Amino acid sequence: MKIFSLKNGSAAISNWIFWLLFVVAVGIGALMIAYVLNISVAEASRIPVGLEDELILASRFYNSEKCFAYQDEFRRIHKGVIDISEFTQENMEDCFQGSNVKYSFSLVLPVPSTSSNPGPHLPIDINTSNWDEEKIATKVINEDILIFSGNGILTKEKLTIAIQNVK
Amino acid sequence: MTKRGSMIVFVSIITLVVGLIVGLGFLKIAQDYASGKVALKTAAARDIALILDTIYAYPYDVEIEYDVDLNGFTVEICKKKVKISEGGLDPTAAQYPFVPVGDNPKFVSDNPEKILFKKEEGKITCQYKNEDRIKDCEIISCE
Repeated sequence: MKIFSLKNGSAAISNWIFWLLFVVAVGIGALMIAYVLNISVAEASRIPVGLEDELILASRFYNSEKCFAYQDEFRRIHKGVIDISEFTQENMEDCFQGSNVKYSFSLVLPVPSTSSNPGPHLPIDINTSNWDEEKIATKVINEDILIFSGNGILTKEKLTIAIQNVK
Repeated sequence: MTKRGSMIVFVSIITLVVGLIVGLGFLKIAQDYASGKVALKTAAARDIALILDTIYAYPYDVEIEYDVDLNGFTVEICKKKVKISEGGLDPTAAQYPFVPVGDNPKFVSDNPEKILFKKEEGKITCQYKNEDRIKDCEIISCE
């Protein structure tokens, strides 16, 4: 290489290859230092497994009236009771807005048969906007819930929540 | 001075300036890591993001006080992210995303000793304590 054949230092530093190698070396050094330091910080502030996705984010689907929780005519919100008429993809967009959060969700709700609407029915499947159909779910949880189908009818069912790690 | 000499002086000055900036940057980053500031910023950003997610998942009105002393930091809640920095261009600023429900909070608090989050009618408001005074979090445009 030309840089190694230069006779003195002043000639070396006025060579563009020297500066290119210098920048690459400093950049790699800085990245290595940042990577090593970040590992220790990330480990110290690690969120316990299942806390963010299963306990905190997933619970909104059956607890928040802005998601699918049943709210009666007195505006009382019934935690763990899903209003089947609210369980739509459109409501999901408001319930779980686009964000850089690390998890995506797919919900499957069985549709109970009623005397006015006898079954069998296909389950309703809705997803958050960051759900990737091509990827396999990282984990699947089943939550015991009640389904409100109108006229005061409550049916005990399981809400299936599939979770993907986005990043 | 010859043309070649002046070129070397110019390159040397540039090198010194760049070296000084990089060196001071490394010094600041090293100080932040060594003092535990980076760990505090990272942990607090995650804490606050998880608190906001929890408040949104809770169906009723609620008040939560986050009493970790963040004096010396700016807490910015914007674009569905919690960012904690030392103000200005902070190379070790920490941020963590959250997912609001039917809301889009935009707050900033400077040097909070504790932060109070309140949810009423699905909307989150924020106050913070600084120098024994309770202040409303400033609402920002998030541009």
